[in-house]
Amino acid sequence: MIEGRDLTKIFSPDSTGKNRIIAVDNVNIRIEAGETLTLVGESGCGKSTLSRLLLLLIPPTRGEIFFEGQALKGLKGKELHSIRKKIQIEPQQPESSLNPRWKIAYSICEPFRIHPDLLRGRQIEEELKRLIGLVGLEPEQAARYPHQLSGGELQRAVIARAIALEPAFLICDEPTSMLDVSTQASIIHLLKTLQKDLRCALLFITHDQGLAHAIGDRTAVMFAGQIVEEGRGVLDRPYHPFTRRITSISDSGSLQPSEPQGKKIPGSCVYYQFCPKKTEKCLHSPEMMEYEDRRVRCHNFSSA
Amino acid sequence: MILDVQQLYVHFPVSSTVIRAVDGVDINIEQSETLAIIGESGSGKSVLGLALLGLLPANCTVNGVIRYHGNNLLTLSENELEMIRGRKIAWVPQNPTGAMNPSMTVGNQIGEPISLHIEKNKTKIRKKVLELLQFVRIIPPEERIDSYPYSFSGGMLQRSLVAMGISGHPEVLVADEPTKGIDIMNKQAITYLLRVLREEGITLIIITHDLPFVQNFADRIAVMYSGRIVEIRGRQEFFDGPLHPYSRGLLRSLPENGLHPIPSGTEDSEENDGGCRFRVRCTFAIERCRIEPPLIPFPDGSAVRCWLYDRREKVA
Repeated sequence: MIEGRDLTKIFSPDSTGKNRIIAVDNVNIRIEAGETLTLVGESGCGKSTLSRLLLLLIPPTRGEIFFEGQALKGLKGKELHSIRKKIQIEPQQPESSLNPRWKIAYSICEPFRIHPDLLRGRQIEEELKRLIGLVGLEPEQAARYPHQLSGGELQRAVIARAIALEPAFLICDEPTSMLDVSTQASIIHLLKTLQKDLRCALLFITHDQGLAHAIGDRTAVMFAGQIVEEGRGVLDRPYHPFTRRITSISDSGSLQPSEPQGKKIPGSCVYYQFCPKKTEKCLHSPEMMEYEDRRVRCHNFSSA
Repeated sequence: MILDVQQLYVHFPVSSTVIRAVDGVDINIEQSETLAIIGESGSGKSVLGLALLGLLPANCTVNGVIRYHGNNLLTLSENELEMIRGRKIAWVPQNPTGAMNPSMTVGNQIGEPISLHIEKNKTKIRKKVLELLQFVRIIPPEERIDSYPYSFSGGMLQRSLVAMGISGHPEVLVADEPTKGIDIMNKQAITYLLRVLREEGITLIIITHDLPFVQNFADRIAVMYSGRIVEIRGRQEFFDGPLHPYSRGLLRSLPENGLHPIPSGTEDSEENDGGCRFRVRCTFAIERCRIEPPLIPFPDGSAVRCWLYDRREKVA
């Protein structure tokens, strides 16, 4: 469905090439129609940059993106325009992704104004009604401005906008991290129902392992720009030292936070400074290795 | 008992109606305990926290008693409050990005409560701030102390706020949503810090809707709904078997318990008609719930605001 091959994104804040930031580092990612991949990792590990690459908002420094079998490299203008409508995002903070001066209904209909060839006049109004009902908002709420709705209601409005064009691929960037648990549960239910109806691929970015567990078919764990482990049941049976670390924390806070040891060594494994099991081999960054249903990026792991 | 809240009401007049953010809260907070106040957005938990600090906005009406070592905080003058706020009772606000002054170095902001309350000597303040930064793991402190907030990550800002909160050696620390929107590593760091503070004997009041976060270290849980406390329990008892239907709903909506949302009520459920406020969303609602139940005490110190637990009824 959607696939990224060897995706790399390097930001160079200045023209000298110093202070380069490798935000996404050689990432291979593939999500099938109807499937949910959850992406977990720390703040700053590159989750959002990866999602921006897949949304075609920024071009990769290296690597390619394939959408429904088609390579997107070199596509321009019209072709890209028609592919974009199939890829949508559900952001973390709905309040900042809605225009505060627009009524909710006007925001939800924006996709139809960007793609005017799809629906017209009356049809748009009917589609709006359908969308509002689908996400569980009252028509009266759609006539309000963003500041008059709660966080959960805004998130529903943004979902309505995201699914207006029936996307084939939807990225959810921590859509519930600011919501309380009950609202979170109802938003997740809504997303899962819609995904089933639309048969869309879902990339769900989250910090919450419980949530990742509950909704993902597969989980990918990201550290310092790389996917270090990916597969089914990753959080139940973690192989990579970083995944082991984050799954053993379990909110209890009994462990002292880890701090990097020594300086970063160029070319070493991204987890080298933190890894309790590092060996000499780890001075060379490991390749992604496949073991049955699991991919792991670590020298010191064998499936045995 | 370090804080004793009795019949606290905080109401906000808004055009034609009144928002009852805190509507009759009674709670005792023991010295050195860790109390978690949980509840959904808009349940009044942050306003309750602000009331303890005397930081409520001017457009609200406050009634009731908040006794701190015997003094009613609500009747103290602003000068008297200044002696307590930040020094004895401190606040860690939510939204670390918005809570910091962008044009002041982090070090100066952390040092502000010290210079107001404890120490005027700048060298000594700086030394103290460096220690605090080290304590909250913002390292190396010497390189970070003169940085501005924009150069800190969200987790670092959150930890700086904790440093600021404890810089005046408070007896009570009120933390509002200290884990909201931060990643698991930062969350672990914050949990660790709060645990250390707890072991040092600081009374912690943690306002949150992050249930897994408080599951492992709060002593007691107070559940707020629509401006009222609906359940107060020991932490273990609460997570083993919550009493109030709303508390049960909260636990059932956790991902590990199947993500079952609490049914949403209709708009008029917000209205205060004198009945139980959770009634329209409650699957156990009975005729009697048209009259609001009192907070029914249990022998073990728990209390729950629900007719299902009214034992007098069974006797009669």
